Amino acid sequence: MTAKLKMEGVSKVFPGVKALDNVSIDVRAGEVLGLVGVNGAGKSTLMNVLGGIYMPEEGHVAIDGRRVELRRPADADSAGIAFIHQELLYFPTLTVAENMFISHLPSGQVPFSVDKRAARRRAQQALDQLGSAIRPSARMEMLSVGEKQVVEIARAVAQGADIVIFDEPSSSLSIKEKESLFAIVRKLKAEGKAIIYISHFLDEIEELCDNYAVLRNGRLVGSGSVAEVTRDKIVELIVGQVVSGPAARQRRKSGAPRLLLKGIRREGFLEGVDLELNCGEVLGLWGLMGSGRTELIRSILGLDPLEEGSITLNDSSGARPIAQAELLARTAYVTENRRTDGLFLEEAIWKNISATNLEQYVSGRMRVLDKGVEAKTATSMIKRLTIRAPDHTTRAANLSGGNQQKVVFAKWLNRQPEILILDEPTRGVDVGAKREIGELVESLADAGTSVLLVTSEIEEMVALADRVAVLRGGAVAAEMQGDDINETELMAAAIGTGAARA
Amino acid sequence: MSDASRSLVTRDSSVPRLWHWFSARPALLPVVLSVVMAVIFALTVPNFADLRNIMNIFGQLGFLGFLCIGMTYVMVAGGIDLSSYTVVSAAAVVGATVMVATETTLPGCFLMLLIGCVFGAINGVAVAYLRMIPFIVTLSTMVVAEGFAIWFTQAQSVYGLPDAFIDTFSARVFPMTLGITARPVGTPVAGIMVLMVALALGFVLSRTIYGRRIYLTGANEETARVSGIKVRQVKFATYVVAGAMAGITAMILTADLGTATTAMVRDVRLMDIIAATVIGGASLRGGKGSILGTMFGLLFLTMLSNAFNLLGVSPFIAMVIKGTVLVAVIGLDVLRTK
Amino acid sequence: MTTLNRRDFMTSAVAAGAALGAPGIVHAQGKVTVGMAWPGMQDAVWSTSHKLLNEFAAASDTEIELVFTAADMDVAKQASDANDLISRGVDLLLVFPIDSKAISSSVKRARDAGIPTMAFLRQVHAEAKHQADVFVGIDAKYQQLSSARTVFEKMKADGAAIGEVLWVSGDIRDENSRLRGVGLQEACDEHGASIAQDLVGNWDPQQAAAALAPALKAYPDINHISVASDVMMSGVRQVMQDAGKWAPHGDPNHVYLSSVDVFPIGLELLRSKHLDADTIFDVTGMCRTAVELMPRLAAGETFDSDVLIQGPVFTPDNVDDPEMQSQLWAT
Repeated sequence: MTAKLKMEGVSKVFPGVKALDNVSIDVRAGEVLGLVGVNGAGKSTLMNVLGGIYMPEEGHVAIDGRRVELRRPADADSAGIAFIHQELLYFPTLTVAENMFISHLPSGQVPFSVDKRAARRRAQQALDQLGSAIRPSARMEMLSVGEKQVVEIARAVAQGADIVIFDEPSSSLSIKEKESLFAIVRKLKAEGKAIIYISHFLDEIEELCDNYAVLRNGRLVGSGSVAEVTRDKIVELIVGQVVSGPAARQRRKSGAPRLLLKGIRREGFLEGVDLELNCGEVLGLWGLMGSGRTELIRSILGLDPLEEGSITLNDSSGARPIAQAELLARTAYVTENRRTDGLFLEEAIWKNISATNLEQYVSGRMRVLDKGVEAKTATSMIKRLTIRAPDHTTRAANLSGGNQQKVVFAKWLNRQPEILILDEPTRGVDVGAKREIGELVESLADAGTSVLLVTSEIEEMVALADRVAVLRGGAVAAEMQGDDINETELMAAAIGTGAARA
Repeated sequence: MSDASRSLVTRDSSVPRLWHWFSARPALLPVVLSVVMAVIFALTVPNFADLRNIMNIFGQLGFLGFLCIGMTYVMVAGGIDLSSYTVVSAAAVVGATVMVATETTLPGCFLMLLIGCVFGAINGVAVAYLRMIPFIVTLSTMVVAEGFAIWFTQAQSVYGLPDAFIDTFSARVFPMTLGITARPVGTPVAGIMVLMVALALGFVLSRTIYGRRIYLTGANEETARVSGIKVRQVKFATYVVAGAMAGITAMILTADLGTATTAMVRDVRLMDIIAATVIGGASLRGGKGSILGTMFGLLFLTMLSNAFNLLGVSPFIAMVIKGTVLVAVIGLDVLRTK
Repeated sequence: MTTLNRRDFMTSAVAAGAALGAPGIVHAQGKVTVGMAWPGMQDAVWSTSHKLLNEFAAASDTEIELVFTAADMDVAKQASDANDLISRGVDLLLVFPIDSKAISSSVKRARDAGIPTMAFLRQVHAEAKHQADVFVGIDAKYQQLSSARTVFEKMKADGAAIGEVLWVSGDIRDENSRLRGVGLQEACDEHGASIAQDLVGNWDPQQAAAALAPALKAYPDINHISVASDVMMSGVRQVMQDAGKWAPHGDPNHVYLSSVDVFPIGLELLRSKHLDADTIFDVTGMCRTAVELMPRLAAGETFDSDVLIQGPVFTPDNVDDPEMQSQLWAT
């Protein structure tokens, strides 16, 4: 059987950089290829070649054994290639059906009119095919992230795509949504689609993919059958050096209490949360999306309303109630989405880093900022966190995801915080940066910082947390310590079985 | 860490160095534009480089300069103020009425400044604290201020201002001579005032902690908030600054015209104010702009209009050029941020 | 019928000014450069006067160069434009003031620079400290006076009763509107009539209609309506049609109408005999006069009185005379 999609000897040169160097991959119908590699390894460039956005200097693409010329996105469209993007693009106020057919709306009887009923019918068919219960007449903005993604997949299906490319599809999904995504991918596979699945999560690759292909520095460094490879081997290919497996780690003993939350309540989100955060520990906050994790953090920091509850801070001057604004001023908060509220993307690294602590650089009656000191701080942070950037004047937007996240960390560390709150600290970050961030969190906790960690990545939780509080329905449903913190228990606790007894 | 991961950082750092350098200095564009224009006009337009005309241009900067400074503050913080030009009239008619009635200068001046600030504060509260959309809020204030001015005066111009007031603000000081100019030409107080205010507020915006908070708020309000910047206070303050600038404009214009009217500055001038600010490097999306750039943007527009008037070329061609330059500058801004 | 001869009057007015003027220095060069500080080009009067001034200047014996600036109705911009023109060193500043008081400071600046000023159509406010050296404008009072007088005389000839008149004014804040009201009052005084009610039409047909409708009910026997400008006539027509009073002269239902300006609708209604008298807003005469005065003013001549142009009265009888037709500009 010939490959459905074949890319052969593809090279792409950008001024000064060889983004792709003689890369060949193939995918057969009914097969899932896992494409992995750190950010910047060339995955996006390779996919942009398929999408008709870049023309390669060398090599070619063949579908069903025939060469195809992909000069523009429309060519990819007509070649039956569809992309499911990491960040979904849609029209929030239009319906699901309209979004699905936005570029191919069936026309009605009257010229230039749209046959909405036909659009809805075809949308329904496509959604049914995926086993989804989303209504075609629902407005797009009312859907969850996962549902929106299903709509995007349904669009690909409805347009008859038989090569579907998933670009980090699971990074913003809850555990449950991930499960249904996997089910859909399997369904598409069973229907004979050729699928390329790009992900940072090796467990997903193991679970879903038949074959894997690893890119590093624009070269294909390894490929083969997933069944015949170990996870360590893939990590080695990705990073380019051997990494040791997760060693059994010592959980820290909790220090003195630092932050005490009692009866935190916010209508519809939080139903009375009690929590204690101690010095020198990593407290994991575990739960499904919508369990109130992010809401809890935003409420206690005064970024969202807080209707009831008390916050007590224990510092050198003893225990005392603390206002939300003051807590915000004393806390480092790495937000869930660095692009929305973590970074000033258009600004230079040094301005990002000094933003949390401007008072530190002020001198004189005129309150003039000392840009020299700001730059110096930034430069030392760049060194300390090994942020890869030409220098401190680089715009944050020009950095890779991992380095952007390090800038977010740098900006908070600059405040030398007692409390560090992390909300999905490694989302969209490559393997290397992920490990560096993990090490950083460990060292901070060792030095006495109180870390509150929210993550959807079960491995990260197991690797980092000393204690875990499980949130369910806006309240703490369970707490785990020591060896109880493992993947099985966490999964069970989140969906409401097992560890709930604890 | 590994060499492998180090090499994957700056894959698109292939932009020419000059472009990069230029992009990092958005205030350079209006400066270059103004200098080039000045040279061309000096060589081709009779009387353009005459000291009398230079002082004339300098004085004209005082007409819109303050409003441009205010607009820069608001736009850097991510907002827009459409109301400032009618607030000028509202402040002017009240202040002038008081001046005429009391035959004094100071209370009237104070009132002009106060009314400007009050309108600014109304904008500020609505935008920053009630989270209303700046465009709609200031559009409404614009109408309110205009209506107020007409109602207050019954559309009659206020006349008979104290000479002390007129003489102070429309005065020309430090007479100078240049080259063969026969009579010494005085420097307009309006120009000196706008220069001083531009230097002071430019310093605050570019060098102090207050200015940085404004930039960061405009760059990304949410990030600024999480970073501990009191974004509501910051936004409020920028509108009050814009209002105060309208108050000062009221003084300058009232003195210059010798009367306060209900329509001292018309809506077409709003376009000039925004154009000067945008040519000066500000972005409607916030986080960008500088007083230096804005003042040169305004200088560019003023020189353009002046040169066309001197040449007797249709002023409507100047409008076409202004609009074209504005679009080009916005286009350049888009390229720059890509 | 006493239609004043426009030319005769104009000449006399100018002569009066010249007689009082001091002998000026004769301008060194033949050429006169005139800076025009105009409100804009969007309004018909602005653009027409700009066009006619250029035509008359081109035809003038003296070489006249007009340097045009437009302020977009912005008072501050007009001051800037005037400054620019003064900087340029024009021989004469011709201003069409946007604000009759604010323009005074530009007059002063011109005077400081030794440049004479001519105000066009709108006079510098009487209370203003610095008056233009000469004002060329329309005799607004005469416009309404002559038009209303023509109607009263016609009524007298027809044997119609002369009593009350309804007055549809323009903008109350507008000096032109006020003067036209004074003119109507004088015409009433001459013929023993009185103004029954002052209706504010704001130069707008809709507003004129809204004001006139209730007044027509309140004064069912009214037989003369004087309208401050025929731009409002469409509104007046609507209301009168609704009230069953819209009829041409000769019809027993006819209500006598006097108005001012002679815009296209005025012409149309003169021809249909609905409108009985309409005094032209004589932009042509004003421009011709202004150009005639330019070299004299630039040469240092002074004028002690305003030059007010009195245009002819258009009636259904003379509307299509070639001489009258040549006065039209707004068609």
